[in-house]
Amino acid sequence: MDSAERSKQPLEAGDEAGLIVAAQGGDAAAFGRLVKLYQRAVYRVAYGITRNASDADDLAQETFVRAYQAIRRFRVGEPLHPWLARIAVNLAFSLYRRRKRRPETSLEPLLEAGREFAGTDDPAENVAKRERDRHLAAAFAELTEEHRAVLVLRVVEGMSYDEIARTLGIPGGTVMSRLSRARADLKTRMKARTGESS
Amino acid sequence: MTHLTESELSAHLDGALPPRDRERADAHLATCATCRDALARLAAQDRSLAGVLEHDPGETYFDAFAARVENRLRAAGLAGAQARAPRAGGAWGWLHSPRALTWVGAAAAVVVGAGVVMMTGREVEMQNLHRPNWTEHRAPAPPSEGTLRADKKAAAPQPPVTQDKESNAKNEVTRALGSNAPSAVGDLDRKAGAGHVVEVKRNEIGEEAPVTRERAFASPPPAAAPPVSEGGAVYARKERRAEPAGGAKPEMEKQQAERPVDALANPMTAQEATAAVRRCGTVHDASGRPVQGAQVIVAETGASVSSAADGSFCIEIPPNGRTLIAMAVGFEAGLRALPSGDRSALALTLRAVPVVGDGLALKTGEAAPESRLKLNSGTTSGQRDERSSDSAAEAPLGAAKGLAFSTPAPRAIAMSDPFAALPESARISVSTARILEVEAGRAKSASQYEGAALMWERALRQSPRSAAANDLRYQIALARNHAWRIEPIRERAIAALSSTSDFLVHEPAGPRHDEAAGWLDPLRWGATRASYR
Repeated sequence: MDSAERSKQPLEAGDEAGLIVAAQGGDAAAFGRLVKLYQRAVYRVAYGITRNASDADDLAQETFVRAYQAIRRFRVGEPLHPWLARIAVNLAFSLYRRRKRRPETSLEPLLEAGREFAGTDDPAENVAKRERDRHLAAAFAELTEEHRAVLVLRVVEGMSYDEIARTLGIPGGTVMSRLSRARADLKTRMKARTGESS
Repeated sequence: MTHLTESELSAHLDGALPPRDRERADAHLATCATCRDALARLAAQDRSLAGVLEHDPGETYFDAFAARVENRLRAAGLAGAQARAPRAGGAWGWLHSPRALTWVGAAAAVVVGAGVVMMTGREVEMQNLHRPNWTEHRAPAPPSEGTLRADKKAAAPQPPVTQDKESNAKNEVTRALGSNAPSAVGDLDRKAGAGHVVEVKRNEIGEEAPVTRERAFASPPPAAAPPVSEGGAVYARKERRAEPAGGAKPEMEKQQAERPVDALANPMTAQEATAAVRRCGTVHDASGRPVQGAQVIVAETGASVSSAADGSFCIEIPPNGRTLIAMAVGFEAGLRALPSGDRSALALTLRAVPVVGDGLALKTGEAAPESRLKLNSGTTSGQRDERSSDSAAEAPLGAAKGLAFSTPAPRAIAMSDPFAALPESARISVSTARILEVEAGRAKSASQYEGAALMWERALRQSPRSAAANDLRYQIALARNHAWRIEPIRERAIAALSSTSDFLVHEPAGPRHDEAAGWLDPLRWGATRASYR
């Protein structure tokens, strides 16, 4: 899920800018197209941080509602993806701050079912992998918000450091160090859980 | 040799090392199995993590996603402004398939406990929003037809000079934050908005988007005003909330202007407690003639103003105000969503009720003099703005009632709308109730459902012998049931029990009777329990 895939979306940068300008001018259909273009990306971010389909659904929708309200202040020419991701990330964190708890630590049943099919033919290996994934999910959930966000944006969204910097409003250098610490932290926690590193 | 650090490995994995560092790292990796291994483990961890963090809800989900966003926007009263093209199946054209519609329905059902009701509410609202009664012309609209004149007038109330007279520093803050404006200066304003980003970047949406625009969604919608008392103080609700004394408008403005300060002091309310926004505009008919005495109502609060002789009005939109309702004798009522942050002048076009005789007579202002009288009598205080703003703020109730009795039988709003034939005053209540219900369903707010119930009750009082009286009773019972289900306290159970019984008595048979009868048992149970709030 890297930027290569995102760029497969059938839109040139100019077209996107055109849609944004149209949306800023009140063209709802243009905004609708933007929604279609970025719905998966926004959902991925929302799900990555919440790891709960229902929350992700709610956050993804809400992200576009906010975007709709704010689209006129969006500076045309800047990338839209980090802007939307930023809204999603902030919404996700404020959701958990409101609830005063961390995301689910278990994998969603749906997700687990999917995993089973996606696994290899060796049942034992599948079980082991699911077990590892479960630990990984739990370890990830223990990370700080900052670390979770930066990992989701990089690992799931495949954002560049520059895009991550824009999304989180931090300098590029900070992205580099934060990602490094997040990965190290995750590794440590996995080690503590499984006795091996991932 | 020194191994690569965690940081270098991580950056290398992302291809983010500066060229020289990268060369050095590659050279090291070529000879160091330990670091290669570490890098490989890091990469594997990333891959596993991506697997754990990704979830594909499927094509069906994404097919319907945009429609659901649209639905949510509309439920929030945000989409109407965009719904210019009168089309049946989704004004934005996002609704592509029946499957999408199913999703919309499903979503609504999930959002609200008893989804059916809310879906009804939404649909009705959507119809209203779709009705092409209203068109909004932003001030810089191309010069065409009769609207140009109106636009100029509408834009006129905006000059800073006027505002400065009454503004204080806080007020300026508000405007600065919300800075979007009227017209040809849109671009500048946009930049200005961006410039303020720093100031407000702590809000949820981040620096690209100042607080004022997001407040509608940044936090749960504000709780509904305390239940309106008997006696139809409905139109005073907003004042009551903003300012318990319900005093003169200058005071009210001052209070509202102070809100941003509160907002800064209390981050939790930063997004919702921004100040009221003053919007001005004109009401005119399809041919561009000003409509005098039209009621312009903030649906969420019931606050209203009426338009002056030249059709102009100014109204304070509280932070939670997202929908304007406008009604005038001889015209169909219209809803206008207010995208938050939008400050442009509103040019509202009302469509005449197509009852030829009455319509023509009324359209040319036959009913207006009466409203005008009421307006004049109501405008004793502070003539700050010689445009209708003062009358606007003060005139509401009398004029609203004045509208009611002189209304010709209104044409059906929609064939399916049982309330279309109600007197206009009752229809205002109905519209407000519906909007409150949509809001209540979205926010799962018991008090807003109660507000809606009060509006339904008000409509019933306004037309007790209407053919739709039972429909109103049903809505009352339904709203009270919702309120109770969201926050089951004993008082609510009793109120719901009472309204449900009232409906059952009046409708002794039929599917709705059976449905409502099913509500009784849980309510009785709830009514006998001690309140555990």
